[in-house]
Amino acid sequence: MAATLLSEPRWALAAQALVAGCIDLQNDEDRVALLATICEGLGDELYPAFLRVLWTIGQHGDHAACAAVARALVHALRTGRLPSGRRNAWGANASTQTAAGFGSTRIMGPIEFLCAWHTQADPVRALTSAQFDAAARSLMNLIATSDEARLLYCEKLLADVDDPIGGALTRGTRQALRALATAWAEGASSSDASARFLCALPATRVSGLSSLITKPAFAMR
Amino acid sequence: MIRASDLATPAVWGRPLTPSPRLDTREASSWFDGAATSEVRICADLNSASRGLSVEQHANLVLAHLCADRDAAA
Repeated sequence: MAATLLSEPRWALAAQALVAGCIDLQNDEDRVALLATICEGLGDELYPAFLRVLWTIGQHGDHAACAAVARALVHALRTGRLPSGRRNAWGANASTQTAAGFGSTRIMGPIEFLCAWHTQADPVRALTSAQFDAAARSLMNLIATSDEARLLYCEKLLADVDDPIGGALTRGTRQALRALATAWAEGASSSDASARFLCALPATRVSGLSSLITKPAFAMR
Repeated sequence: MIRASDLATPAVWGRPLTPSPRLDTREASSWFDGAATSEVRICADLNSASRGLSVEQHANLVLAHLCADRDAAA
């Protein structure tokens, strides 16, 4: 049975409980299993709730709290078990495809999911630039608590964008994600990496970006 | 810090466990609205109730704060 989100989810307590689990569990396998069990419990439709929990930790967690979760993510990345959500492949029609329709959906990790959410065809359901920026920065800050997690995640993102056959992202989104991953791998801040993504999107996607970025995040070439 | 009003278990709270709209109808803006949690602090301290639990028990604790059909005691 699909899970149903509370009308007022207790994000902070959920985030604190996830941190506690990552600290209390005795090995990395169990920590990755915890992340997977939470995502399975939420189901595909509520995967954004998992992102919101990570966002809360990245936004409000102290260094040790973020590091505990980042350590779990390192092992998840090493073993190819990054907690992921399902979105329609680009070009798939949400009204005619079931969530499990063969070939119509793609599995995405947290940052890729946000990128696809922001650039999805239906603007009503898409994250705005400001929402994407807030969410992506917080997730990247959480992950970057561990340099290893950051670099492993960048490797994954760059591998993903080199795989056009996967069909998860449009060419424009893949190019923008490459810009994000390249900048982040080179040590850019989460703010700069997020701005790289937004600035690299095709022009039709970035209306409203001017209200988000008041000054260049990096030098113009 | 976590506010005192947050420190109760779902079973004794009396808060209505009302389901919310699902992803396809929920506005994107509602997922990352940080205003309600601006005073929160998440820390790495482990209280006694969170020690020695299994993966499933820890997952249930997380899910009980998010989902209407979950019980932390499950």
